Amino acid sequence: MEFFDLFREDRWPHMFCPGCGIGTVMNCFHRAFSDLGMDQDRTVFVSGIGCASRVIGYIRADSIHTTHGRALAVATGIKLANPDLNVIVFSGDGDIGAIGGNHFINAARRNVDISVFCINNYIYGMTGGQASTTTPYKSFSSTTPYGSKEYPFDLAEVAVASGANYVARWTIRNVKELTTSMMKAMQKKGFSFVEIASPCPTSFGRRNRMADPTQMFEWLKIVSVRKDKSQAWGLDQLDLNIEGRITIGEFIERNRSPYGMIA
Amino acid sequence: MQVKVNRRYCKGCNLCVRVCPNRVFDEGEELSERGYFLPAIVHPERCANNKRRTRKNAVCEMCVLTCPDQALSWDEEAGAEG
Amino acid sequence: MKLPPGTHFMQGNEACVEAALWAGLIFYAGYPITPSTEIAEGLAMRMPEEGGAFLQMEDEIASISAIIGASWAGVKAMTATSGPGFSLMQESIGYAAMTETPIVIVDVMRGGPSTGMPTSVGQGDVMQAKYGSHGDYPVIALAPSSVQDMFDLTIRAFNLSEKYRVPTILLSDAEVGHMRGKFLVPRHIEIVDRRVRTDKVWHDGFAYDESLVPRMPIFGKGFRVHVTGLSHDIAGYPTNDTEVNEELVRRLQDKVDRHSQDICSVVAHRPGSKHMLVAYGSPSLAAWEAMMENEDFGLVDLKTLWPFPHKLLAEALSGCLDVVMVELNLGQVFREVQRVACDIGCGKPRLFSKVGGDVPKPSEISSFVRGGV
Repeated sequence: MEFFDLFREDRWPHMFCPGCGIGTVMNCFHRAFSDLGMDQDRTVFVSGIGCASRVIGYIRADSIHTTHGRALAVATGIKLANPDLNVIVFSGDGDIGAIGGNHFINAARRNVDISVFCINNYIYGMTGGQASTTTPYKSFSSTTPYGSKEYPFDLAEVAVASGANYVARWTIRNVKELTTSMMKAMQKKGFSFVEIASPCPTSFGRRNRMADPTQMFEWLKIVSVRKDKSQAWGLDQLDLNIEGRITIGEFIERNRSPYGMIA
Repeated sequence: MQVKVNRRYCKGCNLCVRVCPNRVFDEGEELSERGYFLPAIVHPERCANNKRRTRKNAVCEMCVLTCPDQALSWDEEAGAEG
Repeated sequence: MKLPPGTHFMQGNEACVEAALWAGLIFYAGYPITPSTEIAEGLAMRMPEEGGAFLQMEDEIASISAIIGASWAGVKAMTATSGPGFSLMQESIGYAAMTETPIVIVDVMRGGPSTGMPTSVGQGDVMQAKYGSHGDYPVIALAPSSVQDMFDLTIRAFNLSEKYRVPTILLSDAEVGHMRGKFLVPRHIEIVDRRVRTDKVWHDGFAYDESLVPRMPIFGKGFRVHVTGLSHDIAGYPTNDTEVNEELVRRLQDKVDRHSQDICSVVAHRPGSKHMLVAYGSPSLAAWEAMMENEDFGLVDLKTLWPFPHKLLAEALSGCLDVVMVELNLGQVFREVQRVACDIGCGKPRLFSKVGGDVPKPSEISSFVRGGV
């Protein structure tokens, strides 16, 4: 399946900024979807509000762009009403980790059979660069002009703690591993969560001395550390931004049965 | 085959320049019609796929997979023969 | 097995459960809140028996979001709540109206505002049912006043919601929800299903005909439609075009307003009497008793609250001298009644309101009408 068999070519060039990682995620997603031979007429995409949530409007399939933070609740309804459908959620760090936090932990707890791709750009990009629940400690944003005074979430860690069946995190530099993880997530029964660390040069980069896309791209390389290596360096296995690093890898694979469906 | 840049889609982010393991690209000086500086393919002969004939045989796709604007693709007609 | 035709004796909320199953409910997601919890508990028991799905969600917002998703997956979906939960759901009700998603929300109104009086009656959510969410959007709201109404109007709520692709609210109240009474399940029940798209969708998933209701391109049929709460064109793509948005917002409202004759209903007892009482929900029972004790009283029992049945009310009130509205809030439907009364020139309407948490006695209504306060 070619890229534009899965995506709506009439809407290209797309709205994402130069250097935005969302475009790369779309490439990896296309590879994963295509290599798995999935049926785009039996797949429904769900999203909330934000830049990451706009991805689904570009996909040639049934899609529903819902209210801010509620994507996982809507996805739960769709999957349970028609279990034959594959339900895939594309959302962002704010949509999942802030306003949607409650739905995130509960959907993971229920182990609903959906795949969630959370594109984490560490900021609220769509609305102009306000702090997110994943904005690193002491980073700058439009609502933290003196540096963030809050510790951020590690969304992958929250997913593991809530009971998800498969959790992984990669940056957009790891295109091969990301594609493989997306394939695993979509094949796996139960709640699969893949967090993708993505650059936002326009909102995050510009305020944190990384305005050029290539600068944030380099930053992701420096700041990410593979899960097994992070243990060797004495960091907590899943500890994130407090130490200024992003741990990448596959964090857990469980085999709990997914939430039961219609009788 | 050789990589080619779609002038309408490229937004001049230069991630291709950074991600290519063989340094095929460099930041270009040519402005596209949309006002972005397109990357320049300065060393096509270094591309790992230089001697490949079709996309199916590509051994490295880092630039195509990374390009956030889907602006890179393989031109199977172009490229050095040997 | 659905409730068989014949007479039954049940609680209002229980009748609502059985009616929903008759209407074809397949997916229920809800959050417990007094005095609506019996609906959730009843469906938790009955849904698996009838082949549907029941899910207790983490909050009301998750509940309404889940039923919106289920509706787009092609099934009838419902949730039940009360005032505080209804407030939480408003954003998503607006979303359902904008995306033309058929859903039913039962609001068993209780004493308010805020946490109010969970086990006492109130009618404070009427304006919220129409204007609770931001922007201009259509909504249908029905007001049952007996156990029979709980059965009939629940089915009607589903039918209207499916026919017009509009979120429909059943504005019940704590008394009607909890009262026990006799009701009849008729032999023939009319069930309306949404019109689903049958032809191929090609950039026209939201195209509509003269009914102003688009056929619904439900998920999983290969329509590949994009649904969004953003202002959208008939392809479903988000747009900033002012003309497109003007047309969309007006069509959504016209969709309901133009069919008000089909949607609205009232029951008028002794129309044209000297003193006309106007009521809905549990106070209408007290008003009915007051009417039976006084020969010059009439009563208009409003079964539809939104779109407001202006025409039907005007017909029932024509020729009367004194209009008295009875409601358990500080005057919400009263404003609409004032408007109608002004249009037909039948004198200044008066409001008998109680917000303490109980239904008025018929004698209190009578003495208010006769001149005491």
